[in-house]
Amino acid sequence: MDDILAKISEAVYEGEEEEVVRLVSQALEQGTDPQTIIQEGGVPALSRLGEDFNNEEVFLPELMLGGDCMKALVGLVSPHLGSDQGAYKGKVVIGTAQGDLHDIGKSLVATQLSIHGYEVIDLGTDVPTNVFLDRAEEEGADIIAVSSLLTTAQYYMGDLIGRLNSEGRRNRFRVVVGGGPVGPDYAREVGADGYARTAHLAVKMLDQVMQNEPGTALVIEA
Amino acid sequence: MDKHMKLLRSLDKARGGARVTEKEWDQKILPRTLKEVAKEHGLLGSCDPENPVNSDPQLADAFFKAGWDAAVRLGFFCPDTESVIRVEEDELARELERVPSNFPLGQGPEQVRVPARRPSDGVQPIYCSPLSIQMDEELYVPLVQGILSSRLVDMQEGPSIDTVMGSPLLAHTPYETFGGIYEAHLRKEAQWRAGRVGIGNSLVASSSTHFGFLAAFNLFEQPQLCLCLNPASLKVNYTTFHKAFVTNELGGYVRSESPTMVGGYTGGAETTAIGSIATDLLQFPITGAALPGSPSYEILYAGNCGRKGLWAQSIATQAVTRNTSMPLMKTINQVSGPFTEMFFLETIAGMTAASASGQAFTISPRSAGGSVKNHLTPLECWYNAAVFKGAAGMSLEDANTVCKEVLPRFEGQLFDPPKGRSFRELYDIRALTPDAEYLEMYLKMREYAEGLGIPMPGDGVFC
Ligand code: B12
Repeated sequence: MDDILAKISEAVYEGEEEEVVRLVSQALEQGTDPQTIIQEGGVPALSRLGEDFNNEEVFLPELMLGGDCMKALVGLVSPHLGSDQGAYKGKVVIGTAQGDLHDIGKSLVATQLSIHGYEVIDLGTDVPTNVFLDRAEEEGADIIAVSSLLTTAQYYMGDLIGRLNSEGRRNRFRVVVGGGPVGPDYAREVGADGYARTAHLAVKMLDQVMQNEPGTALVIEA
Repeated sequence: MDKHMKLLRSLDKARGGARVTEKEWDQKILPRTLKEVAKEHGLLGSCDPENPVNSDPQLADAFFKAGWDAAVRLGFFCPDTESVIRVEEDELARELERVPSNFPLGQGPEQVRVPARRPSDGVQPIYCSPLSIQMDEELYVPLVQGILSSRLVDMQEGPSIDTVMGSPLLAHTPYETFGGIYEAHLRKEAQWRAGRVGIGNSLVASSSTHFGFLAAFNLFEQPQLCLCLNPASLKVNYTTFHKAFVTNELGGYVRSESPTMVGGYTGGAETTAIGSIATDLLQFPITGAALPGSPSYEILYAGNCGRKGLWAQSIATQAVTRNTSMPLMKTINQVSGPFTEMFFLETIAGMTAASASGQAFTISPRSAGGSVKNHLTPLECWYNAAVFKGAAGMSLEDANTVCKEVLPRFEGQLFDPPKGRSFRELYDIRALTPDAEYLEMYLKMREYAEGLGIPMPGDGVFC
């Protein structure tokens, strides 16, 4: 059994999604505990990927492929988890604000979050405010994460929260923000639930934000 | 018409190509092809962080060959059509014969010609300033007047503004249309005040999308430079084509920039350099850009004055400038801010490597990574210009020695750099004079650069 977990881990690390699907199905058939598959198959591979990325031994594409494999893995095991054991820590809808094409930072955040147990729906770049809101509603998301590297697109973060407030829906979603020009002061000014300076800190920040009710406090990781 | 036809042909190719999703391109096709090419040419593992400026011409030529192969195998991905624009090898060779080796920008006595340069070339490169750093709108005119008051600055691009008469300049909306017009008027006012009417421009800085461009590019007498920023290396989008058609018709020149990142989609330092070379080779054949520029950043700190950034960018520059006759631009990207010693040290490393490697043109500074509002003053611009021009003619060995000397003094801070101070904190804005302490630091750091063997041309204001 340990052997299959090691193989799953290797396949996630290598970004071989088909192999991950095959091995995870096999493990489930053999009666391996679904939480163990996540914790001992997926998680170690992703930690290794994260470390190797910081040491410049693997690069963004490998990191993203690993994140996709984890998504596939969790997708397969989640129907087998007990009802009290959610596979994910929360569901995030992420994108860059309208007019902003800078995608690297946003993709790193999305990947880090999916590596660390969040279900992530990546809406890509140049996402209009209404699309964030509609997709978050459709997906039943817990969190809306908006990235902006442009001061001129950053305004849309305020618009988004303003709209949630005016529609009486502020308690539906936690809104977290980040990207070059965005800082703690701006996050406070627009009434966000969280701000983090890096993708790595975003995970830490979100873990805390998930403990709070939407719109009640601001968590800063700077 | 010739230029329009080229763009039309590229658009046709983008429409006709097989569908490839962006994810497939980013995660598989691009990184795997670059790695394959690097392996075939025996270049994996050739990055030498101990010697950040390569001085082996054969290695630079081997990178050129690899970049050429990558260009032919990959082409440019167009996200709007989700397909690839390919360029056949003979077409690439033909096109590169036709790239102009120099071209004019601006009018009258202010006009400059952008020259193709080679490594260690004594010909002076062109310095354009500043990058699109956000400023409060009321600071635009005094800041630009200050920057342009030194003749070290040959052209203007930024800064940018994020409000127009107090209203937010919202990205991708007609606020940008007016933003473009408004910026054009501020620019003309500042240039007039600085006595620089006719100076060349790279346009339009305050607009992130095509709205502002369409409104403002034609408010300047041509030839001017059109600023096209593509989503990434080996990609081109409809916005660039849109801008390029208008620019051609008006008689301007296209500068098309598409960055690579060490650690990003292009992988490690060697494959990133190959990706940059391929991108620079394909710009003219696909978009007709007279001034291509694919800078390389390091993803972990979003700058390129550290060892791998310097290495990747300088070898890619040498590869192209040794083997083609096109003028090449790339940006040097500091992460520390004004009134920090680190900023000057980053500048010495980045600008010396760039100039000695044969870059024809640059736009800077990127003080405080460009992302802290109002963190920009004239002194950083002049210092960048002086090093860039002063290092012209320097051997690659000497440039490497300079980088090795300064790197240990700042590289430990690249991940958490000091952001420095703002224009308001460092300048008397009415009199346009810097704080005495900052001026002293600037003059001391000029002396330091001179001591490293960089003959720093005077700024004409303080020295
Ligand atoms: C690469 C780059 C580009 C590339 C983008 C490529 C791409 N596909 O992403 C190109 C060339 C296309 C580009 C274009 C432009 N750019 Co640009 N670009 C940059 C650059 C050099 C690096 C950005 C980057 O990728 N960093 C690396 C990543 C890993 O870092 P990051 O994005 O900051 O993300 C980290 C954190 O911020 C955080 N984070 C990010 N998002 C989120 C979200 C959440 C929720 C959280 C919690 C955290 C978080 O985590 C990430 C990882 O640690 C920056 C300068 C800089 N040094 O930052 C300028 C910069 C962002 N660009 C700038 C500008 C002005 C532009 C243009 C408008 C230029 C112009 N005049 O046309 C256009 C806009 C195009 C558009 N419509 O978006 C300015 C913005 C200034 C401002 N305050 O508004 C900057 C700061 C440069 C400058 N002033 O000198 N650019």
